[in-house]
Amino acid sequence: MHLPEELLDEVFGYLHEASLRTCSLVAKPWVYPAQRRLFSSVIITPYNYQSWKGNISPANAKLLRHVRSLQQGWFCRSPEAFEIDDPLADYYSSFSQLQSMILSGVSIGPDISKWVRMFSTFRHTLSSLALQIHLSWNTFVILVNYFPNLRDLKTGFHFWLDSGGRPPPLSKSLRGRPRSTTSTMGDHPIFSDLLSGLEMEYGGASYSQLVIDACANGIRRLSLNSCECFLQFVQFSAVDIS
Amino acid sequence: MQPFDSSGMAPVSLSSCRELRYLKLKLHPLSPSSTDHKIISSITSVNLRTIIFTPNCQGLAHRALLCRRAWAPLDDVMCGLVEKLRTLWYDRTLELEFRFQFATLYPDLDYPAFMPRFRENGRVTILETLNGKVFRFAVRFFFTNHTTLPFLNRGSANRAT
Repeated sequence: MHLPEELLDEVFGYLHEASLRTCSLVAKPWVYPAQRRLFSSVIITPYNYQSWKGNISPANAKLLRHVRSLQQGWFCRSPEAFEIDDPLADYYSSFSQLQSMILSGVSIGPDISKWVRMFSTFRHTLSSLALQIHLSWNTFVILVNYFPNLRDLKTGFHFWLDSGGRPPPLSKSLRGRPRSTTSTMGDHPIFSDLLSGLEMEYGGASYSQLVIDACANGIRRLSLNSCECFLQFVQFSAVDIS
Repeated sequence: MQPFDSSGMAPVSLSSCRELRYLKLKLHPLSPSSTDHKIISSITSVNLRTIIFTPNCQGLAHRALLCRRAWAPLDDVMCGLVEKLRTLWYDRTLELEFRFQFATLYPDLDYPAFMPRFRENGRVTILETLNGKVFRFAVRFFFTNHTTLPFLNRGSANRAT
């Protein structure tokens, strides 16, 4: 029985990963819709990296174009290991439809041009970027501005900015200052109006205000996670809640 | 490279966020800190619709949330925010939403003491994220879309008015 691809796709939407893997081996017409579901969201960690690398070639663009969401976490790596390049560096050029990316544990050095070249394939499709990395302010600004259709930016608990020579800590006079609507690459940059969602920790670090002000033009949804939460949670245990 | 200064717990200012519609704060299980108050007070967006609190502690925290009078400072802050925004031609009904994994309203709690001044002009919602159950506190009364709560049938809802 031959089913239209749209119907197959609808049915496969209800299947779990194991069933999808089986379906992808049933018949040739089933391969594409099954793989499209299987590879729509990819999580790469030290635990599955070797398996990923052994089974999927970076040149397999036909398969990797299905990836819409990419999450990678390398927290298990030693500090020395951060000096090496991103293990997925060879793969980025094949993620042509990537919409969401979580970067964690990779080392983005001062040579940001090398990174933006790697990200050029999905420059216009990426709409959500989450960062759990240490990088300089300049690199952060270039990275965020590189994706013109970015709508959501999230900085996680392991996100940390180094001043990298500039900008200076926020001065009070900056707040409320009139802004132009164009992005600038100066000391106090302004991100695109399209960037409407921001989620970040606000532990009091001076860059928190800079990031908020840089996003201020278009931000509609703001989520702030207080670093005080944990400390107050400890205090909470001693409070009479009756 | 030197890291930015991270000393202290200086609150961020949201005065530059003129298009802000939804602010979500993950915070103390019982009541916001003075830092959170300052953040809320700094809002100048006339597009603001909802301020969402996601307490860091789940379980029975919602019971403590409702009966504690420690929310009086937040009540003042929220009223001050609405009054400030009204001077900027803010014409919306501001909603304050608390999101808990589990939430139940107890008939023995003193609901009128919970954000009474803000409820005169705004709306307080408690959302149970697990089941999507919603409790709404409007002007000195509450109602819910969950009809199986036993105390509602005993007329206990009147105690909250």
